[in-house]
Amino acid sequence: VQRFFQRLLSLFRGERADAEVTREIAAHLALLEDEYRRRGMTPDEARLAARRALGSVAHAKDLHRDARSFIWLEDFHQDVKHAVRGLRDAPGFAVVAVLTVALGVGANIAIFGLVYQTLLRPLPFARPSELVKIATDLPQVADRFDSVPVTAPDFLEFRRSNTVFSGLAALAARDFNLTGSGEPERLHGARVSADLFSILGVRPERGRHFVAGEDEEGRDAVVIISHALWQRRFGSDPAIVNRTILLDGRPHAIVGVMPADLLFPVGRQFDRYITFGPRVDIWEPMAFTKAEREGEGDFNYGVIGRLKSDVSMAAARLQMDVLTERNLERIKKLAPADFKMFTRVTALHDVFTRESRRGLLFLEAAVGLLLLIACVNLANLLMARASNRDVEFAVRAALGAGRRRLVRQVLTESLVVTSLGGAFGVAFAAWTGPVLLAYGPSSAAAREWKLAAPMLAFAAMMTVTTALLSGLGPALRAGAVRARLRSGSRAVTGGLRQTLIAVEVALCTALLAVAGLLLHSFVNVTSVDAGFGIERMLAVDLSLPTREYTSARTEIFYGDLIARVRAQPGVDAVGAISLLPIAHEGVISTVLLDTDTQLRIDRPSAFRRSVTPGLFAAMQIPLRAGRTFADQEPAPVAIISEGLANSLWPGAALSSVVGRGIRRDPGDPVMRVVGIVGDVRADALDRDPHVTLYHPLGQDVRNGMTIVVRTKRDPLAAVSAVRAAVSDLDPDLPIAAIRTMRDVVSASLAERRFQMSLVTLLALLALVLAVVGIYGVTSYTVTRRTREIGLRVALGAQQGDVLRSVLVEGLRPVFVGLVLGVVGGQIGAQWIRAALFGIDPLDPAALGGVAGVLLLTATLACYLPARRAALVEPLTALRSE
Amino acid sequence: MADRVELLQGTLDLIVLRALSTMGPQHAYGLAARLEQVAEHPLMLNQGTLYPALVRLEQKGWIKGAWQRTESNREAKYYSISKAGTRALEKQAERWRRLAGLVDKLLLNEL
Repeated sequence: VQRFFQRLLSLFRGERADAEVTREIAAHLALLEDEYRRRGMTPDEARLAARRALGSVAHAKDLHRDARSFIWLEDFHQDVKHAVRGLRDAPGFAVVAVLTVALGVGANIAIFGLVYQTLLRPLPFARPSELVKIATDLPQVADRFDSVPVTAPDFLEFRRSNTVFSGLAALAARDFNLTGSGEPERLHGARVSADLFSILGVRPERGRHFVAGEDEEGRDAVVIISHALWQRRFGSDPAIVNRTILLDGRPHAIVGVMPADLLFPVGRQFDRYITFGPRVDIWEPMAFTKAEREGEGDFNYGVIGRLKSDVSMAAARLQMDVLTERNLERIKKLAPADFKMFTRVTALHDVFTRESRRGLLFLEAAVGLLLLIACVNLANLLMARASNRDVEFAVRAALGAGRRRLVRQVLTESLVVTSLGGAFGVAFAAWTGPVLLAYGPSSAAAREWKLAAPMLAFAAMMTVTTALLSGLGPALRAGAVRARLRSGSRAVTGGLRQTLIAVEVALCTALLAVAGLLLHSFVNVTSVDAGFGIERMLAVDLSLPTREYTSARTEIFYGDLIARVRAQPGVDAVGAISLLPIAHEGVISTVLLDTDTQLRIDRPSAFRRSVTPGLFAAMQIPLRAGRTFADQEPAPVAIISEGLANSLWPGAALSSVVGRGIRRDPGDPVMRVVGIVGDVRADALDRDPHVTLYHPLGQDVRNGMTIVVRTKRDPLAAVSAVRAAVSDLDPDLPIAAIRTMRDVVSASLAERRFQMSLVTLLALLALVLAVVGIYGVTSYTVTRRTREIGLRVALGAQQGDVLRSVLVEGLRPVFVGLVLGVVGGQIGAQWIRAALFGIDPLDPAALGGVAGVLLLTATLACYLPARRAALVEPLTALRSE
Repeated sequence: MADRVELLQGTLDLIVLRALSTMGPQHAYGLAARLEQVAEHPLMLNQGTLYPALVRLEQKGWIKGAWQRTESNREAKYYSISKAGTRALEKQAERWRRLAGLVDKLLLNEL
């Protein structure tokens, strides 16, 4: 300690100390010169000889300075050189150890990159922490809608009266038919307040933002397009700004192009009840129509606000509460007496991370386990290596290396291994990261994967942690070499190694168990009964421009199209439905009995879909009672799903429900129920079936419909016929999407598949590491016991006995680990309970399978060394060592 | 040059302590001259190598340096062994004897 302080002091007194040394060396030289002169040299000769004897003056000073300063840097350099040499001498060990670390660290960086890009990175907007999302809470329907968007009148009131936001913008989804030059095309787009982009703080790469006033009716025939659309559709035309295009038949001027890296919500990312396209290519100013401005109860608009820089989120909430009270006052006479409404203000950041947070954190934990397993393996390897080096350590200790020095040397060696592994890991991650992001959850897909500084810092941290975790045991062991030699005992590490194996197997089993549960869930989801037939079905999305297509024309168009497609060979049945289950979220309405005289929020809510008569046959939705729609339905009628019938009239026989009356609003005409069909899984395959109310198309005309074509064989064979039929009827009409139902279902399972495959992959990697670990330890034990085994064989032990004893010893920690791991897997399973489908966490198939796989591979890993042991020749064995 | 003995780390300290305890206070040059005189082989490449050992020992408080005049009236820094130094010398010498024995044992018997 004293020396330490002396050195510290000398850091500050460096100059004075240097002067002192100079003086001392000068004195030394003077004395040497005197001596040489006395021996008869000339003064010049004497000075030269003195210098030679002392060595270079500068070198002497350097030596002096080294001794004064921290010597550990020098030692570290030496240790690293030594470690590198050691690794070169043991290439087998080096390769296995470095690969183990590369795998563990690489997987961690790749997943951390995903987490970082998705959850941690600030949004690519100006001062992102000021941005908020505003939504509405309706506590009375909280069980059905956890929060809903905002109505236009409420939004306008918020914008007019608030003093906490520097800007408030509304956004809604809006798709367009682009016609004119080239193929007609369906574009995914959005309506946004004119100042949305300036509130976000993003600039167009060409042209300009919308300006104030462009979000008024009549002045809104301007659009901003995405970089991708500009490139793809307009060939990166440099003169794109001010070019006029036809959208839904109306001319619009392009005023700007947004940059390629713009982050804009896709799908249902922003709000469950606002569905943007899978990418957004075009923006139109939000010019509210008179009907929209007055649309009380139409919770349709997403709202983004920017807090003033000196206003806290809490202060904003307080003021929004006040303004919401005022809004409630305004709609008092329209709403039920006990109607309640609150406004929710959340950070915009949460909007982009909400969906994927849980899944990603789970992956992060899983990959962390993988790294732990890698650490255990590395510790085992280092330990085996260290125990072969007792002699080396003993010599070093004898030559004056202190205990601390030995510990540090082994730690350095482990740091060299993990640094090499970490470097490979970073390369591995840089290669796999972009792939992960591409297949990852859609909320992450908008961002790119690149090695950011925080990720490199994370990698460095992982590397050092790995080095410490795995190197500490072997290092302490090396440090104790002197005590061990003194007591004359051989290294006893058997217990520690067995423990490490048990830990490793436990971690691996836990991962495998979770993977097994996810895998089984995935199988369950894909084989679940959707309530309709998924195979041999083509789904064609169309959207007729409202300007040209009146209700009557729309009905005629779809009727004609269906007739044409049905006439094609290979087509079994054709129908049309607004909002295809699984692909599109439905419109939800409360369904009232014909006897209800006012809105009752305790009545069931159902998806509403308009269909053509042939739809049920085309989708293979079974009819439970009554009839399907006829071509002409003069009176208001409806078909309801089984679940809706049961909740409207609990206990009533389905056949008795036919003919009863329902309506959507006390003022609406009563609809007669003519038929009851099965429920379908409308949200997603892994969500419970949702009850549905079907209207005949003629009684609730929608311009956007999905044509459902049931084919005899491959549905893709019908694609060209469908395209031809559409363009025959209207050459300007784009087909928004055309794909098989199988693809729709597959896309809806993308996130689940991603999680399942990634966890399975990690679990398999863990299994490989664990098997390598088990094999390594058993094999090492056999080598050390060769003499003993030879003796036993010489004394009459049979090959079977030897085999059994090695197997039992090798598998004992495996069993312990297996039991612990199943328990650990249960804890993990609780975490992802929401992802389990059709099984409980104690699923015997998954757990049994996992235990089987693990035992089988572990037995194999032990069997190979055990066989080697059984074949030991007593004579060779006794001569060994 | 082939018969030059490379000093093991730690041994130089021991030699310096030993010299100071038997000869009394010495300056660096005097120590170097003494070591060259005692050794049957040339011990060191040059006398500058002494300095790290001197600094180390001084930092440990085992020796003390003070500026004095030599007989030839030149100035020089004289080092003398402290009480702690004397104690350390005894311990180090004992340790060295033990380890030397161990090295012998290892080199002869176990490699």
